[in-house]
Amino acid sequence: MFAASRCADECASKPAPDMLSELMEELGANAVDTLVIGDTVHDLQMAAHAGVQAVAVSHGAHPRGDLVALAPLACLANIDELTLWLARNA
Amino acid sequence: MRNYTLLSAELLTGRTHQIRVHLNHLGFPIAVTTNTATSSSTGDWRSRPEAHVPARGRTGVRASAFRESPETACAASRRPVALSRFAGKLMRYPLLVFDWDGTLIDSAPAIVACIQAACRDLGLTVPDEARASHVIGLGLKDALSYAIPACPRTTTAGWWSRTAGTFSRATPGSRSFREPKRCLQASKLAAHSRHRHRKEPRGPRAGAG
Repeated sequence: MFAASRCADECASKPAPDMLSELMEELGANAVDTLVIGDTVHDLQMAAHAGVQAVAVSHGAHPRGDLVALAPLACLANIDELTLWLARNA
Repeated sequence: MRNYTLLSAELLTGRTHQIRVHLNHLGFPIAVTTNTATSSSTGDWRSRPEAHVPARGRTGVRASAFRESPETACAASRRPVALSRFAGKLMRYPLLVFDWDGTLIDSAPAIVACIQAACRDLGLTVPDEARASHVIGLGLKDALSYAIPACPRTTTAGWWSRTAGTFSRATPGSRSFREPKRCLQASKLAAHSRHRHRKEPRGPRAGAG
């Protein structure tokens, strides 16, 4: 299901861009070809620090208001909304 | 100018004539443009392609430029085109990077419970739910300094092993893993069908958690 993964034990943790930049390097993707999907402000900040666009989901650890404040492309309420959004936009 | 739409497009990728092609496809052809996109710097600004689409060296369209103000574009041009319908055709992400905890799997409540339990075990101030859930996704050092500001450094190792130990015994979250799996499969299928036509590398997915 996943081509690669990074966790905080392997490189600098969020909100540093390292996990993202390492994944992009390993998989040969540019920042403009990449989209981050996350439930926390740390995910959105990591994306911003790497110059990558992001989509938030509000069913996780952080409140919707905090996520929206960081201007993700969308803030989706659940997995079904995320699936639909990705099918249409990603 | 009633029949024109002033549009700001951010140029991101290196595909030739993408702005021209996409806008034309959407029913918004660029005014007075040529194939070579060269023009005189003199004369009416509307005759210069760069007046409509400021070039930044590389071509390509970021679809959010459309999504952010489709109503404006439609109203200004009087062309009732549902731009959002086309957004997916403009915006492509060969690489999707999913966060894991809280995004694909409902582990946030369990992590919060484990953080609180570990603090109780070690006689530390127990963070409330908001404080404990805020640190999900952070590295250990940052997580500790926010969740338990008064935590002595020497306690770190014990705190972590307690949290991890509690978590490994914890009941998995209430949300089924089926939904996220469907989501991943759907996005992967979409990527495959797109890439079949475009003959580009298949879209990998990645996790950063």
